[in-house]
Amino acid sequence: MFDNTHNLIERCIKREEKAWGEFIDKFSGLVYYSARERLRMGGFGFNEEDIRDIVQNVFVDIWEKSRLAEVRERNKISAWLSVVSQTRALNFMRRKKERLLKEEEIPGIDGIIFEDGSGHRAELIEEIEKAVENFSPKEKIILKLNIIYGKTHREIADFMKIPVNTVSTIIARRKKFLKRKLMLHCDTVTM
Amino acid sequence: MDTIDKKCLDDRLLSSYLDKRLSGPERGKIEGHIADCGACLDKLLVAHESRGRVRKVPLMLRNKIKSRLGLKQTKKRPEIKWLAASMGFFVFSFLVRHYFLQFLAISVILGFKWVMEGEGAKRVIMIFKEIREKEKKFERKPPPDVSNIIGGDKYGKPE
Repeated sequence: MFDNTHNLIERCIKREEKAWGEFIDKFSGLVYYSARERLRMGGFGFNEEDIRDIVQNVFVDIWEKSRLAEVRERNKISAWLSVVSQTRALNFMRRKKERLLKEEEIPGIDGIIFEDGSGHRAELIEEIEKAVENFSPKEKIILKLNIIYGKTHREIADFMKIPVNTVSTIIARRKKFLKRKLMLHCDTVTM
Repeated sequence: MDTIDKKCLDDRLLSSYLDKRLSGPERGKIEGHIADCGACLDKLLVAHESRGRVRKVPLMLRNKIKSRLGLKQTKKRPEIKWLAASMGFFVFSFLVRHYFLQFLAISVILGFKWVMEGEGAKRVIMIFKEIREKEKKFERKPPPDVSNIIGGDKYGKPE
């Protein structure tokens, strides 16, 4: 066993077999979870076999291209690994979509996207995008996380590394503003 | 939320947002991007939520990855403790005649547990599960209930 993740990654960079075995044991769960959640969030239709392929490809890619060397803080590799596996998952689904389109085995590509009310969500996102156009980036993120993703004030504060009070203030102020804007819009439509 | 307004940030820069090591302006730059890029915001959220929610994947998959990299595969140690306990209780059942049946029952249960913990048994269970799922897929669904449709039966005739 190695002292910590930093040590483990250092040894993986040196291509020590034992370290790689432990790296796979330790992080394959994270890669699996990230790929699955990203595809679920994106509304892609996928099966267990797809996720297994993605997980394997992530590790093969990191091994072949020696990508661990690009991680700056080695003991905080989880976030990087999660993002890498999500990128890989999205690319995998794009390629799958293209392949299906080429082969024309399945009538239409709609089968690959779940019809789970994502159309309604897209409409909501579009409306919110329009309404928050002039807000600052921080405010935009906070409002999106709160309205679209349904995150609590504490969760948002934890994600953005800012105090909960700041999040609450921004949400309260901006929601009031949006409400006023919406009411004005309704008045002009009825007149 | 897969709308990409600008060119997406690379994985290293994006993940650094969660690691508290960025300066204010660097953080601001990433926030400026994810405020308008749903795909990157999704990625960051999943990465953030993946912390502490991760279980180990099955040994078979881990071994598959290792074999693709040309590494030694992990062999699962057989759970000898269950077998030893089972044998122990079996011997006890003869030594303490008064509780012969009780000890024998415990011995059988532990022996069963030892068998079920083995890789072979797990594989058999997985195969059975797969077969059951496939059977469920091809099961015929009962016809829809049309009795509560007002104004007629399933052929549209008024009752």
